[in-house]
Order: sequence, then C-alpha cells, then structure tokens
Amino acid sequence: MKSVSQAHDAPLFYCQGLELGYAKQSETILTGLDFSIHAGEIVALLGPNGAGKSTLIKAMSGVVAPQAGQAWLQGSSLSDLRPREVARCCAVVPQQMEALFGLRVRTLVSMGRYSRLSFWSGPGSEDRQAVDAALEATGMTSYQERPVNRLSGGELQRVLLARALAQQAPLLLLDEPFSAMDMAWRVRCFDLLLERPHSSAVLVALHDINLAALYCNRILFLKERVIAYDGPVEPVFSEKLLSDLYETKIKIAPHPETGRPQAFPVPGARCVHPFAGGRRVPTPDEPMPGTRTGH
Amino acid sequence: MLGLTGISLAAAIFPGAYPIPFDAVLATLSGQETDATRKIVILDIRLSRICLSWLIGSGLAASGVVFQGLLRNPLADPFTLGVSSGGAFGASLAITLGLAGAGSVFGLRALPMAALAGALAALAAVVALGRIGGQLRRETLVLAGIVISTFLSACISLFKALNEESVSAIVFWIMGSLQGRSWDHVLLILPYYLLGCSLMLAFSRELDFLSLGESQARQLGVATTQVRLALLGGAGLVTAAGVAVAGVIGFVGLVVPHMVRLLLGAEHRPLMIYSALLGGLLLVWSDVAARVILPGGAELPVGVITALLGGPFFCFLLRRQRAGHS
Amino acid sequence: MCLLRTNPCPAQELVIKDDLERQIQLKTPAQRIVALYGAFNEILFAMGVGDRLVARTQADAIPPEITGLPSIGTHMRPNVERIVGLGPDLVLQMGGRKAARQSVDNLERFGITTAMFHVETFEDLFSVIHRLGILTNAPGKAQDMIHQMRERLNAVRARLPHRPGPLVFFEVRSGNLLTAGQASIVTDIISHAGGKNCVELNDRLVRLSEEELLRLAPDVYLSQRGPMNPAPQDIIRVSRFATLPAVQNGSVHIVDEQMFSRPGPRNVDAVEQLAAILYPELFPELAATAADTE
Repeated sequence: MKSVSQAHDAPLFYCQGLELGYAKQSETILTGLDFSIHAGEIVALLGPNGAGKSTLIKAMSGVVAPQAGQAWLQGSSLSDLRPREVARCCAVVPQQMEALFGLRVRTLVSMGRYSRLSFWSGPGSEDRQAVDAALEATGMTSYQERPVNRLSGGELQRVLLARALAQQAPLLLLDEPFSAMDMAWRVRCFDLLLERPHSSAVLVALHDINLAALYCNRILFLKERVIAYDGPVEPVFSEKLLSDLYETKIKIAPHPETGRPQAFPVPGARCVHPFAGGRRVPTPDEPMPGTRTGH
Repeated sequence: MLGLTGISLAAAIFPGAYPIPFDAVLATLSGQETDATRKIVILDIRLSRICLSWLIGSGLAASGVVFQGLLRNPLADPFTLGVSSGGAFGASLAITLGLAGAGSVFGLRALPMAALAGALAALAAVVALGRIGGQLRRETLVLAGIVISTFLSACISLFKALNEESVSAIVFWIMGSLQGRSWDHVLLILPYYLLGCSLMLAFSRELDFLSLGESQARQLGVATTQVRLALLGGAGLVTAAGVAVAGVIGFVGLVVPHMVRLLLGAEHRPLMIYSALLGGLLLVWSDVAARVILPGGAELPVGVITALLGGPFFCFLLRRQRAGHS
Repeated sequence: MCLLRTNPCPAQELVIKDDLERQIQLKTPAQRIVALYGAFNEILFAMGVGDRLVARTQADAIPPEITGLPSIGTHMRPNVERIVGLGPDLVLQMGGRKAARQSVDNLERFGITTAMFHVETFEDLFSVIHRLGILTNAPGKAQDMIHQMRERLNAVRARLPHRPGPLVFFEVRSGNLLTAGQASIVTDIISHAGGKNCVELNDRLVRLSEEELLRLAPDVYLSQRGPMNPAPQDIIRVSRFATLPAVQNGSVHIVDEQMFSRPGPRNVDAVEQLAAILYPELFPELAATAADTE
C-alpha cells in the first residue's frame, strides 16, 4: 500500500493504473487512469456521453471494483475499506434517483449521516444540526416533510446535494448534479461548493463546459477510454482544442463579468444541411484544421 | 393502533360456532368457569387461533415490507421468492408419501415440519442461486425465485398427477387455513418468528437505503450484501414459519404495507412496525370471519377471505396511485 | 333417476336417462364396457356380466378378476387415447366433480357412448344398478341384486330399536377437518344403520370447525382410513376433544374408506358393520367382524 507521508500534501484521492469496466471479463470502459485529487480543488469531469464519467465516480466511491490497478482514499487502499469507511471519506450525488417509495425529504437528507451512526444509536444533535444546515443551504427546509416522489427534478437534485453536504465528507463526487435545475439554482448550488472548507475537494461531472470555466480550477477530460486532458482550465479554452475535443466548431469569448473564458458552439457548423443539396453550409472561417468534415 | 390491537385480540374471542354467553367467556378468562367444554373452546381453540393468526398476519405484513423494499418492487410479497412454493412442496411431499399424520415432534404431526423444511430449503436455494457472482442482486434474486418456484410448482403438479387421492388434501393445504391449529403450532413458529422479526427490525433502517438501489446504499455506507442477507433471512424465516402451519395466506403481505405507506409514508421502520400491527389485526378478523361466516359451523379457508378483501382493495390502490401520478 | 319408456318400443330397447338428464341409447347390449369408477366393476360382476369389462382404472383391484385388464389411467384423468384404442361401446363414469364431467365430454367427442351417474343414497344406487341392467340387457340380474341388497338393509332395520339413534360424526379427513354432509352416501349408510349424521349441512363434504364439532357433541366418532385419510387422527389423545361424548363413551372407530364413502354394493356391508358398532348387543354375530376391521 502506498501512502503519502506528508499530511499537508496528501491527496484525498489517488489512483494508479486504474482500469474500469462493469464485470471482470467485459469490455474496458476506462483504462490507464493515473491522477490524484488534493484538498481545495474543484475538478470538472468532462467528456462526451458514454465516456465513463459515471463509471469513474462509482469506482472512486467503491461501488465498481476496478479490473486492474489500485485506488486510495485518504491514504487507505479503497479495496480494503468497508462501505461505511468509504462513506466517511467521500459523498456522492448520483446522476439520477428513482424515488420509488416516496421517502420524506428529511429522511433522505438524514441518510447522509448513516456512516457516522453506530449500529445501535439513533441520530444525535450533531446529526440533526448537519441535516438542518444542509436543508437550509439548499433551500429545502420548508419541503422537509414532503415525499420525494412529489418533487420536481430540480428539487430532487437539491435534496441529493443536501444529503451529500450532510455527509460532511472531505471528498465530494457529483455526477451531473444540477442538470435539471434552473439557472438560478444551478449557480447557487455551485456557490455552495465554493463555500466548502479548504480541507475538502470536489469532483463534478458536467456537460456544461462554461460552468466548469466559471467554478472549477482543474479539468479532467475523458475521451475514448482514457484521460484526454488533465490540467488547469485556461489552456483548454482554445478554439482549436475545444473544437477537436467536441468535434464541432466552437468559438471562445470572455465572460462579461468575471472575464473567465466561455465557449460558444456555432450553429450548423458540422451538420450537412438537409436543404442545401448535400453541400455544407459555409461558415465564416472555413476550412477548420483538425475538424472532421462531412464525409 | 396498539390499543386497537389489544381490543381486537380480546373481542375476537367472543364469536364462534360453539355458543358461549358473554359472561361465561369472561368467567373462563378469569378462571371461574367450571364447564370443561367451554374452557376448551375458549382457552384451547379460540385463544390459540387468535394468537396464531396474529403472529402469522403480523409476520407476513412485516415480511412484505422487507421484500418490497429489498426487491425495490411494490408488487413483491413474502411469496415472491418461492418460500410458499417450498412450503407447499414440503407439505405435498408429506401428503403424497402418506407421512402427513405420521410422527410427532413436540406433539406435532409431520406435515408442518415438512412444510417448514421445504420453505427454508427453497429460501436457501434462492439465496444460493442469487449469490452467484458474490453479490446478492435483486434481479438475480427475483429470477432465482421464479426458477425455484416454477420448478417446485411443477413437482407439486407431478405429485398431484401421480396420486389423485391426495389432490384435494394438497389443494386444501395450499389454500391456507388455521382450522384445527393449536398451541403446539404457536410454539413451533414462535422461535422462528422472534428471530426473524428481530433481524427485520434491526435492519429496518437500512431498508430505506436499499430501496434507493445498490449504488446509493453502498455510497451512503451500507454493507449491502450482508444487510440484504440478514433481511432476507429474517423475512424468510417468518414467512416460512407462517406457511408451515397455515399454508399460503395471500394478500396480507402485499396489501398491508401499501395501506400503511398510504397513511404513514414510506420510512421503513415505522412502516414495518405499523404493518405488523395492522397485518396481525387483519388476519385475526379474517380468521374470525372464516370461522363464522358460513352457516352450520362450516369453515372457509382464511386465505379465501384475505384474497376477497385484498383483491379489490389492491385494485383501488393501483387506480389511486395511477391517478396520483398523472 | 327414472326410466325412459315413453314411446312404445320393443322390450329389448336399450334406452336410459343418465344423471346428466341425457338420453343414452345403445343399438345392441353393451359388450365392451369401460368403467371409470371402481364400484361399477363390482356391480357388473355381481350381475354376472363382469366379463364384458375391457379395462380398469389404475387404482381398481376389486374384484380380483379385473387386475388382469389393461389400465386406462385414473378416475379423474382417464387416458382418452387408450380408451378409444380399446373400442368400447359403453363408458361408465361416476359424477360429482366437474373434472369427471370433463372426461365425459372428451370421450363423447370421439363418439363413445358415455353414461354419467351420481349417487347420494341407496335409492340412487339401486337406480344405477337398474339402468346398468338395461344397458347390459340383464334386467333380471339387476333386479335380483337390488332385491338382495334391500333384503339385507331391511334385515338390519327390523332389528333396530324404535327410538332416535345415536349422533354419528364421520371424519373424511383429519388435519383440516373434513366431514360428510347430508349429500354424502355416508349419511344414508348411517341412517340405515340406525344412527343420525350430526352434520346437517347439505353438501357432500364439509370443512367443519372444531368448535362446531364440540357443539354437535356426537355420541359416535367414525374416522375413515383410506387414500383420502391415510392417517386418521387419534382423537382420544387430543386434549381439546376430551369432553366429546364419543370420546368419553370410548365410541371412536376407524372404518374402511372404500366401504363407507365410495358409492357401491359394499355400502350394504358398511350398514351392517355400522349397525354392529352402534348396537353391539343387537347384532352380536356382526359385532365380532366389525371389531376386526378397526
């Protein structure tokens, strides 16, 4: 087992040669993963659909066992940890939840405290305070007695975020956590992530690269079974690189308030226009180097 | 609810085929009755049946909560995983081999013992099949349950075909009845009931997590495989014990959890406790109905009463739920 | 139950009405008979036409002559293919249960004449014998047989006292207690033997609560032993029945299922045996044999 001795520099998560798939024999989804996450980071996990973002999050939280390689959470080998110990280190906001039986909002948020309770004891005042605070932060206090199957998609995502906050784990793994929220709540929830203590870190799987630019200080881009990019945000925001990564034409401009780079897709840049007799719709600065063309 | 349970358990002792005046019942209960037959009817026949029906009803309802949460399927019931088929198989085997009345362990005939063994064996087989690959996954479990159930049902049909004379005995047994049961039967199931219920209650909080699915339960810190095994064992024990002495009594384990969920919400610990109370009540009164509803002291199988009550109510629930979603 | 003799026809016309109220007509007396119920074998042998049987059901072994015949399945699920293969001109079935009716329908589809009978009393039984006599063109033999059976029943009745007899309970199956109701042949056997079936419900079989058994307080408790009840309960040892008059009198008896609850000629034996159980002092010569069967 490898553990980093310097406490200050010790990564919250660290993996080496990680290879992921859903069963031992089946096709590998991600391979050769080597990266670490340190306290204070907010990492955006980007990549096209099916790149393995959810699989990676499941592997980091111990639900999917790796086909090869090893991972460490706070210095302990993930495979040696019991679920309760993993849950104390990392909290997960899943992409979706099927609210089958309509548990109450407060019950669901209180579940975040499970890993901190002993088998015999019920929740104490500390647990109740953590739940109250999480409900308050996500604006769900007045909803706490409502069954979760009566909530809208965005509200449910706020409940799931509240649950993860109540868990008070140093590592927060979020899988497209705000996709169903309106713009205001999306921003408010990201602001919440910024308020977290410096000893903690966040990995958030996103589709919206602009939100990543506004809030994250590092980008992890998955593509074609490997990490295609791992590094700071700014270098990614080159028009050529992004156009290559997403295989569509992308323009970049600074955010009017913060000055952070923002990416804008260009309509019709790649598709063959159905009414143009098979010709591509011409775009201002064609041809684009490195972009695949129509056929 | 507890009060209602107490009152019901007391009230259920009055109706019955053997006419006993109100004050004589009270006299019997206070130990002042001198008529031997009255004492037998009250203390031996009615009281033991009330206790047995309460135990079985509450056990089935609590197991229903577990199976629905565990399998994440609101249509699951205590018999989904083949426990009933196992019990019926054991009983049919005993009937076919002519062992039904033979032997006596703790003053009991071989039939309930064979049914208990069959039910537990079926459960063990389902768990063993469901554990292929190390984890106890609900899809595998349900499939294993279907496979075992279907196979055992085929075996029962084979017994029926081989021995025409035993058909009616098997059919009557499968229909579920508390007729002719005694304190011996209460004693037979009590250890299984207590062990099973403690397991279910101890892990009732974890059911909330399991109902969210494997990944979320694990991510929140639940050792899912062990918890599933404990819950399955507990619910299986209680169901097997019930099947062993009373045959298959349907709908209690399916409908009662839904009724309580409608009134109380979905949190599994209160759901399990109140379902047990309501399930016990339901079966006590269904059994009272089964023994007094027909004229001339004829009995209905109590399974028929619960099905008659449960079927329409379940349709109502389904309609209501669909209306709620749209 | 009655003969159909409406139109003027020759004496040898082979027409009856079966118990489904259907007219059964044969052109020639039945020569190849398949009985789907054991009692018919006994009746046909007693009438001297047993040699016309060409098959038996799996469970039948009485009289012993028929064990050499091919088996065609069971009473409730006869093998239609085998029956058709034997080319019978008459199939006999005893009714009551729906499944038996279905087997009849299956056979009729192959054009095989099938008569269905239903017996609840001795009179029904006599009517069946009478009609079998017609179909086999042995009416005289049938009459003789009926006459003999009536004589034996009358002989029993003549010796019975003129007072209400004891209340009798008949256990068809223990466990989930099942008993014989008024529609069962057992009730008629009991009354011919000078007793009274304490169960007054009109069904053939009744699931009875134990409380009701205690309320009925029978003087005599009969358990049948046979395929329906392989292990009759020993109620003397069951504490909850300790106050039952039958238990206190020591009047608990085990009888043969075939003899008591299957309609057939041996029901007369059952009457004689039961009379000896109920009135041992009046039937000393029968009481000895009755005791043997316990």
